[in-house]
Amino acid sequence: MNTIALVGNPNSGKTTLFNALTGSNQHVGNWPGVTVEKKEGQLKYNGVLYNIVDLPGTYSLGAYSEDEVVARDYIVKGNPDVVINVVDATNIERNLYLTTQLMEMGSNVVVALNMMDEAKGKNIEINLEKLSNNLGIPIIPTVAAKRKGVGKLIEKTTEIINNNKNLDYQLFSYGEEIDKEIQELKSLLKGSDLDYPTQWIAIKALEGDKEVLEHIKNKKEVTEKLATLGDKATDYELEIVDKRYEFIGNIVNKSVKSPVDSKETLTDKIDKIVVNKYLGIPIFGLIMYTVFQLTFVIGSDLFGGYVEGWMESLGDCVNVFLINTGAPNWLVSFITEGIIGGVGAVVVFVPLIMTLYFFLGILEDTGYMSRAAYVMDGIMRALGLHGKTFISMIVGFGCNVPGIMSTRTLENKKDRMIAILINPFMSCGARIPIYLVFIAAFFPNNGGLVLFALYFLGIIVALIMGKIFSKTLFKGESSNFIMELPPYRLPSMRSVLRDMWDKVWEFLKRAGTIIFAVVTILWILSVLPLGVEQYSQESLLGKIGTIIAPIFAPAGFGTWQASVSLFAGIAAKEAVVAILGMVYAGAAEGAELITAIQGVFTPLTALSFIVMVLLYTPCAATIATVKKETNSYKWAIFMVVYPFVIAWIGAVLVYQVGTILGF
Amino acid sequence: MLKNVLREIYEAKLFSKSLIGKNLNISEEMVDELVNQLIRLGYITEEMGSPTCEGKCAGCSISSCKSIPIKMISVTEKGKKLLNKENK
Repeated sequence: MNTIALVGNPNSGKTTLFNALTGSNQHVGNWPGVTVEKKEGQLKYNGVLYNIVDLPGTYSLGAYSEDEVVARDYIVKGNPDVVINVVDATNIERNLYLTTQLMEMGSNVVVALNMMDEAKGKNIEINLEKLSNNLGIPIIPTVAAKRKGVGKLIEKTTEIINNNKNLDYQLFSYGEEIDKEIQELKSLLKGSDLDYPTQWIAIKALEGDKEVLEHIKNKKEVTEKLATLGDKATDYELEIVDKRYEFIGNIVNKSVKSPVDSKETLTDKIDKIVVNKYLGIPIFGLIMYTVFQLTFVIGSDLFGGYVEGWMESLGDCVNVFLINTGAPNWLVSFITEGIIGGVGAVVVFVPLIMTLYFFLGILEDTGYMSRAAYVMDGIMRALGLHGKTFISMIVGFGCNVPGIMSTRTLENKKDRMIAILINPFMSCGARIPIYLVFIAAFFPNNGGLVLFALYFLGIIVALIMGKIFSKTLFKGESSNFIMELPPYRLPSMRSVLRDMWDKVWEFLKRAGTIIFAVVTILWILSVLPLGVEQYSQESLLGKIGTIIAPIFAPAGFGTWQASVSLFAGIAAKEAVVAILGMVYAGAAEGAELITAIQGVFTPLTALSFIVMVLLYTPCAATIATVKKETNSYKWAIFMVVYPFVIAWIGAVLVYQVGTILGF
Repeated sequence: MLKNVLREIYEAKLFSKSLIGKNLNISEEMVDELVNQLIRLGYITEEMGSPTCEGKCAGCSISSCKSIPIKMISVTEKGKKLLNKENK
């Protein structure tokens, strides 16, 4: 029985054509030794049965995937009488690459130029006669989905089989030098008992195809010849691929007219402004400011009150329930002041966190983040830093741990160490509740601006430190790369909401685990030694805080409560708010915490405190990641100490300068 | 064509398939195809922003974070060598 093989790019409509040719006469199996699906069927035409083999969809016939190897091995070793090459008419240039490789194999090829209706819809004009003449291959236009042209395709294919004559198409030139090498290799291979045509083996050998080289490894003369090519062989691979495209390009230029898309796309127009040398950074700043402002308007003003109200009601209900059931005072205190006051103080910020991540998700999904990284890349390079550093900084805005992990994309050790060391200055999500408490207490009318300023300050400090490190600790060359600016697209709400929920869920999980554990430990410290007044300076918690407090006196917040909250923040940043919620009047919900800190901090000390929070020692998980990534305790310790020093200097500067200026 | 795309990438400040397509008078799909060939041949590399973010990182609060969608293209030493040779 004569065999017809179907080969084509994925999504070229090959399987649809296979179904149209075989109807229900088909069976599915596997190609021997691989997990690639093998589909075979039968076609009856003019009383004659033909075996139809549907080969795996592939873009080329190299040896880079199982699909490619299966397809090419079948074409060369399976000896099909005709190979129908299904070509997507809407994407001819790309699809013809496979056709050129079939020509190199010497196959009897018939091109089924499929999806002609779609090509027409896209105003692509194809001169079939010219295309066929230039390729030297019969071309039959088809719309397999509507069975259009299938009859003609069968007619032409069976005609070639019945004529029992190989197609005579002209192979293209690979350039004088390579053509000569091919001829030389062919003559060396002449007379060899090989599974593949010598022309194809010669081309593939020059391309460095591993399977072919293995196949001819015993042909000493050939391997010696290939060895003499040395460095030239590396370029031959590119030259051969390039010549295929050149051949295709010439043919397509002569026979295909596509509507010229010389108009600027919307993306191009937007990018002219968004990544403009002078406008890029101000636009980035404006977008981020708008995001923060919207976060406050929607997250706080619109939804914020609900969660606060729920937490307040929960606190009251639990308090009444515990008292009515005769629970001991310590348990009432632990649950209402410790758990609800501490963990609850963190949970009330869920609406704000949700809103912030919603807007950041939209920015990410539209493709703007690539533009942000691009405009910052210019500054990074000007400072002698690697542009990829900013990508790890963007990741660090979510959490410093993946931010530091993402520095693995930096090949150069100097670039990577700098990126690791400056990442904790990026305001991670866990720090947001702390900012929000202080903003709500002292800067309620300028929330977006303060939040924006904090993020901005983090970036500035990171850049300054990066520059200092690159000039002192890690000198060396920076490497180059360019970023892709994908087309803008409308954000997918499903994807944005899913990402937002994932982040909020993680935030809640942390509140229920790490923050709960920290609150529990510090609550115990607040009641020990037994008999001492809870949350007093005489408690263990108070004593620890009192020891640390003098360090922060020059920054204006040298109280044991503020000190102990910063200390707890090294376990997890949200713990700062939880501990403040617990120690200041055993606050039962967010509003009380805000009132409590208004009585202890001033706007100036609040500002110096949040600058401290922004810049000081990162959380334990981040420090552990630094140890893991640098494989050095030295850098982990450095990461504990140096941000603390920077933060302390920053907080002291804010307070002292502010005091001098009369704030 | 491949060398032209390689040169465009090397000399560009940003990577845009539509811009390369316009500069070389080829379709975006073709640019995509040629870029894939250059990657396969080892003349350029392509990587995403945060390849280590696919699974949960120990201690990370964002276990579900996805790779940041920023694609970076670099011309390899092999690519630079070829371009230098072409320049001579």
